Amino acid sequence: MFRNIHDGIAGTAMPAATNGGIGVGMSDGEIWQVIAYLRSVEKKASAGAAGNAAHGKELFYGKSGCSTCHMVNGKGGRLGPDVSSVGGSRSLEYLVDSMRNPSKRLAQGISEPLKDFSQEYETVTVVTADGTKLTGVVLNEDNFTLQMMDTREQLRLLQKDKLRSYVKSRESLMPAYDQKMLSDKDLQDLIAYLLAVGAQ
Amino acid sequence: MRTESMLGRRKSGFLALLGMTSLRISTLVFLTVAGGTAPSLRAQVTAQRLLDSAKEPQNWLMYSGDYAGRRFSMLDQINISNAAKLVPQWAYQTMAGGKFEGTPLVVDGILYGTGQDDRVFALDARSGRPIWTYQQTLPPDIRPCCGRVNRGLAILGDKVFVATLDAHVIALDSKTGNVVWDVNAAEHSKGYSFTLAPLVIKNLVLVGASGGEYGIRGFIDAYDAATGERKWRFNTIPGPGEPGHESWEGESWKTGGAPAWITGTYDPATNTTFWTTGNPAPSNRGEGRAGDNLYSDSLLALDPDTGKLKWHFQFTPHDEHDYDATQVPVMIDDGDRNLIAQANRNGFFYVIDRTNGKLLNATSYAKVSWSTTKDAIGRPAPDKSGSPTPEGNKVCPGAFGATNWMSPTYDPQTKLFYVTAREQCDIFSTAPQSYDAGHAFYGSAYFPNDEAQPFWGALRALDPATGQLKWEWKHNSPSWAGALSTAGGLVFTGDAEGNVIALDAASGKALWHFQCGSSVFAAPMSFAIDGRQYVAVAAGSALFAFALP
Repeated sequence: MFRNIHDGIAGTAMPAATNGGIGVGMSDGEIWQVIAYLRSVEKKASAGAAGNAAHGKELFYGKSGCSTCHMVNGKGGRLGPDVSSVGGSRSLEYLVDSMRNPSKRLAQGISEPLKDFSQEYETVTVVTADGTKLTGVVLNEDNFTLQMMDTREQLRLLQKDKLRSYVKSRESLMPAYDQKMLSDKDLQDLIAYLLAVGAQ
Repeated sequence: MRTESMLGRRKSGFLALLGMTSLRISTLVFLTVAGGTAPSLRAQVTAQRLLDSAKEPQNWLMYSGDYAGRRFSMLDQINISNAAKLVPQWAYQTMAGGKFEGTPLVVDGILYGTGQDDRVFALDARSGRPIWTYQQTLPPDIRPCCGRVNRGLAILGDKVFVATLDAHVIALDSKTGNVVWDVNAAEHSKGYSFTLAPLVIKNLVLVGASGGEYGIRGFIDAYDAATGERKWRFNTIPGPGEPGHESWEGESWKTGGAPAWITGTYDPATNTTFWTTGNPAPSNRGEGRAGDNLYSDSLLALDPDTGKLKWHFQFTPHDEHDYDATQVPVMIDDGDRNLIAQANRNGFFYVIDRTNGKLLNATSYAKVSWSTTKDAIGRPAPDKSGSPTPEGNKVCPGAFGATNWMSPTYDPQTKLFYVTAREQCDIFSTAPQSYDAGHAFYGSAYFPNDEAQPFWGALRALDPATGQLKWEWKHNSPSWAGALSTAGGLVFTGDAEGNVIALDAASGKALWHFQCGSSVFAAPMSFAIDGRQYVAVAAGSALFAFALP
């Protein structure tokens, strides 16, 4: 973590915290203080993991339908984020929120002004010149073009001025998995599965 | 011969080994190709030419194009009827990372530019081929707050002038890139640096310090263009006994910031140069520096011969939100009124009488929450409720401001002022911090707010007569690009997604765009060679030039 803060991460928007980065420059001591702070607020999902990972995997690839849109270790759908590592990097609260109320994270998302390329899985619905209606997620866009994946996982590369209509929403395409769709027990099992694969 | 030495440097990678014969051959080749432009290469850029820049619209002789700071080109070959046909002509790669913020100069067919890490280059402006390059060797303990950037050069005679991140002012031979003189203006290890393009007035080279994040004491300096001798320094924070000193609590004036990190403008009619200043330090903490904190966040009218202050206007008294006033102060003449217009980082568009510094109008041009009232002179006054708190307080504009250093432009044909606006609020917090020389001096921090609405931005066309918005071109995300207006009825700008865009100056309709592949952190400029108009702008690590086919 020290190296990532000190040197930045090449090829990403993360700048070096030392001279020449975006900030005002931190000393090594200050970087360690920030790391100490991050460690102090870190929430490890594993603290609340008590479910049946094997059953969680069945749900993921079976009746809960997660793998329609999400991938774990190369297997599954492409429309939503790859969740292979979320169990190792997100808090339990975050994982529960993401299933019970997936739009919450989208709504809070911010586009980072210094980032050339941020993907937030915003929902987009367009009607093309020939009247075809497409719904999917935004992969990237600028003022003139849109790169999206539709719900059939087709990449659609569109010019905005050729579209009949274009509507973006921060309401996630993912359904909110309430108690009827996913019991607390099944939710625990799914999280146990994500934690197990995230720890690998 | 000047052309010889120039070409000698151009070929310095390998031809220097081959001796004079090769140089002479390449000179002949060059003169054949360059044809009619060769004689003008020898012309000196005199102080009079800088005053008369309107007489040579094919050249771009200073950072903002003219002394008025309008960033307006009188060239009209590229216009609303043909802009859609623009195509790239060349790209020059600096091969450097970080933000490329420079505006190049063009003089008689040669383009002089600066890039990241204080590199300087001279190019054949028709082909983008380098003639010479200069790289300042930067020490490891420089303190650039916000990137290793350089915004450009000034030119006079046969020298170009660059101000560097290690707080040097350097004159380079415009034919060779060789150092003519080099002066150290301040201690870089204490947080002093330069990022701006110098401004030449008569025989003086004017620069202003960066370093408001490090608790410097800001200044504007003037150096003799011939020798590098410092002729005057204006401290942007008055010392004991000087008017304005009482606006600082205790010893806070010694570390109060007020840097002057964007190029000023100049009114020859009154022999007045206008400079703007940045935040008081520490930026997020007013406690310990009670008072207005003059001359932070101010417009300064100085005598360029002596550095004496004629008058000042402070935009944000006792600033606690890093609302630098470092936006080019644009001179506008409206009938018999001589004005300065500035769309300030604090979200207000100010129109000021430049003969006396009196405020005529201040209208918000973006979302503002730090001020809801005006004082006796009509100036937006800070609300107590807008101050940063230990827990954090949401205030608009955010820390990057409603705009920032990116150049605005004024088009005398449409009589509109165009500015890149940013719609972003932040949560400002504050905490005690003691000054430590050369160390960041913020007095806490700011955080992105938790609004559902993502940040966004727009190029806005404002009417200086009323302060009202005429049109806006919405950016997908907030842009850091400046703007250029032209007599062709166009406004050029860029966006964070990498597009360079030509808009109809009257309506804001997009007429052309080109995807450069990386964010635009610079302002476009325009020049012409052999009757052909170009528009140039930096994006990513490259400088691009566009023209009609």
